[in-house]
Amino acid sequence: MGSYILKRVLTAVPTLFGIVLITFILMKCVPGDPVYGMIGQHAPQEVIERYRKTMGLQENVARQFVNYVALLLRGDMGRSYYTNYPVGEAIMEKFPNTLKLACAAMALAVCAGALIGIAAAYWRDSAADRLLSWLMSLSIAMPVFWVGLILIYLLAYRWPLFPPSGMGHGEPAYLVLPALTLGIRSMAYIGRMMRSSMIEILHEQYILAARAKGISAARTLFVHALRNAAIPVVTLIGIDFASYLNGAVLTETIFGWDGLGRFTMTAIFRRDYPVILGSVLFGAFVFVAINILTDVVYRFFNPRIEYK
Amino acid sequence: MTSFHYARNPLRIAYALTCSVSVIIALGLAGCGAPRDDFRTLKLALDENPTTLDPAYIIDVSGGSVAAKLYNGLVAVDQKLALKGDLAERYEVSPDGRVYTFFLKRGVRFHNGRELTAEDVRYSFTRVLDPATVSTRTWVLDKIMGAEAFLQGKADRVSGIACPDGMTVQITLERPCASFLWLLTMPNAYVVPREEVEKWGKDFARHAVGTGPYRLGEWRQDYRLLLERFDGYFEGAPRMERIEYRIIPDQFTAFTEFERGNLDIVGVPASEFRRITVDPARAAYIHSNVGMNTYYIGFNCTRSPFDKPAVRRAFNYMIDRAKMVDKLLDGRAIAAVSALPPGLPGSELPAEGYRYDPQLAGALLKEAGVPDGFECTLYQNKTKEASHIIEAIHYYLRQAGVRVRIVEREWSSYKEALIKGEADLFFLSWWADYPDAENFFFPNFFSGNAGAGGNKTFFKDARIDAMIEAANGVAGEKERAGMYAAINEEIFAQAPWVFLWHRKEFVITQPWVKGYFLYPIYNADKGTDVSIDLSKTSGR
Repeated sequence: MGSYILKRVLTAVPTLFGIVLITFILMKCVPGDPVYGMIGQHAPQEVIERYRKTMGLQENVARQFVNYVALLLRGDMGRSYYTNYPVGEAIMEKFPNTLKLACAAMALAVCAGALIGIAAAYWRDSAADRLLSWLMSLSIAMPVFWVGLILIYLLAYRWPLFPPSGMGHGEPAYLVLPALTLGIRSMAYIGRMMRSSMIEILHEQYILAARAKGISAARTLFVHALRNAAIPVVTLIGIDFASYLNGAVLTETIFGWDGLGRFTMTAIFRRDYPVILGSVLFGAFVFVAINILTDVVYRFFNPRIEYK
Repeated sequence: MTSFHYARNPLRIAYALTCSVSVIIALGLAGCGAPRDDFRTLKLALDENPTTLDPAYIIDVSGGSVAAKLYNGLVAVDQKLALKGDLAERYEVSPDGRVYTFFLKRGVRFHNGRELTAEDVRYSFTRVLDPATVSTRTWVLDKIMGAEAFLQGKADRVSGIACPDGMTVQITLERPCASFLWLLTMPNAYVVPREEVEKWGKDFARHAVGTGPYRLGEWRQDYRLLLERFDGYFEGAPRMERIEYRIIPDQFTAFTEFERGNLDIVGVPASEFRRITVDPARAAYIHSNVGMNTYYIGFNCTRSPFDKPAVRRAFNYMIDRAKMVDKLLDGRAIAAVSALPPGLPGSELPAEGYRYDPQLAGALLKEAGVPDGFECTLYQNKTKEASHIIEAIHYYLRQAGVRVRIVEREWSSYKEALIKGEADLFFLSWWADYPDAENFFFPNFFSGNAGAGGNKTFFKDARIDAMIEAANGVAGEKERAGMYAAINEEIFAQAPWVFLWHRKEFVITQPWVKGYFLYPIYNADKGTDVSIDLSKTSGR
């Protein structure tokens, strides 16, 4: 296992380098110039040229890329063109908020999604199954911004149970609405996946054997069946969780949540290259780390899996 | 088909557990609806994070409005949009309009306790002009004598700034510039203490120190900004102990926070405008004014057929701006007659504005020799509101036989396209930095500013150029107003824009907010007069 993880970590280095390179090229290909954003509505041409020179944007693209990689190797992600704020510092400030929101959303999605999926599988083809399936389809179909606004309207405005926005001083109340908004779609996907996976497992002979041996229904379902049914769900959780750790633009925007998603999106709109590159690199790193972690978790659910 | 029947239903147990946990959590969270207890802090919202609080680099409204509370300039704008001394007790202008002498107020202190001197003003202005600072706002101060040479590295100081004594600053301009005092009201001309700038370097914005009524408390980028009362403020400490700005990008969310009593002052969002403004109970708390702005459709005046004034005038007759203001904007604007918003000297035209007259538009197109059904591109920034407006404009142009291809771009590439002159037509607005007609005419219609300079229509008229330059050299207010009126009339006739409307700003305050005034210019509000009437906060 140890050598497997080490191998994965080592192969991650060229992956991350490739991602930085592709992002860099893409950034230079799309229209838009950061300098025009920074000058406001009115600035003489010589000011623009001076600014461009200071930021090293007048050099050829290859040279700019080399400069950026050299900066990274010195452990520096540069500073935002707009705010002059160190990118690494900004990411480290925002990541804990993103992590908190991602964990809350995922916890909600996993608990509720798994229960819904198990229930739907258990009451398969019943009215309850149809109702749950319909609810899951609805949850997937609802746009995130709409869910967020409806939740604010209902649970923060009409019945003021939760704060409408912000992060407070870390009180869990502030997490509820953003986590619900962000997690509801994952919950539905997990529920669907769990349902189909569980239906398949419940037909396995070993489940029948377990019941025949007198093992309790709860133990059969939640220990024997769930463990196997959870493997495809873990993959889904891994992908969603990694995506949440890269930020959730709409949720963060609606709830004024200071996370990585809004930070990155603002930078993309402004062509704030150091922030875009830093965020993408960090996001890619998170993805790679979660993928390795997911592989490790597989083994917990199925010890027969071997790492080569 | 195998079916399973369990003697005890495990799902019921699981659901019972989940429900119990949910109830416990909900009960635990019920405290979050607790009433607000901090009324010593004025709570405001910004829709975006200020890019910087370092005066040398401020370009945005958020940054400017916060910086106004942290710093002071030599002069400022008052409630009637007139100039007043700020750090300057008084100022004198030489008869030839080139030498400005500012006599500083005594006893003005920076937040670090040091007293302000004339050298601080010289340092701050020189810093903006210093090529090493790489400020994008050098144009605010480049009228000063020797500024250009200093900017180009040909001089080691700005020769036009002198400090005859510790409390007097004398600024000599290259040539008379009537708008110079207005330029000094801009955030980029705020005064900073040298020792703090040198101490913090690139991070000065995060440790901003000025002479303003508030000092910077905490700044969590993209989330929260806290200003604390500066008791040593030279005009007396402000009434509020703190101002807390929360960065809330979504208007509806900000308004919900307001409705919950968590914000004291908020802009009325478009989605809530009708509901809020018809409510008589709220009428006393709604503040509104016409901002110093003009929304317009710009023509690329270098491209045929928009190089013909008759065609541009025809487009002005094609669009029913009054109806759009009424139906599309719910009256949150006033229809524009010319490039200048009402109230500015020179804004009144002798003739009536362009009314909606498609027949006249057709006749003008015919007269200009433009064939029926020509094609053009109309660029817009990718926002929901712009899309609604462009849809309506598209309808009017199509009615007039113009086939329009709409090109949507997000802000950065949109701006690049306009600066490079890629669009035939584009939808844009101009928000003034100071309340003077020069700030509309010079950036937008002076040919030397074509492209990034602000003149995105590439409009070029030697006579108008000369008129703009001449007006800026005239010191007398009355004479200048007359010259501005003439320029405005000429621009109206040449019509490089379809003059659409001037947006009105609507702000609502809580009943407990006292002394609030909505300034038409973002950097005029120092936040010193506003306070909270605690007798009206009971029950919150």
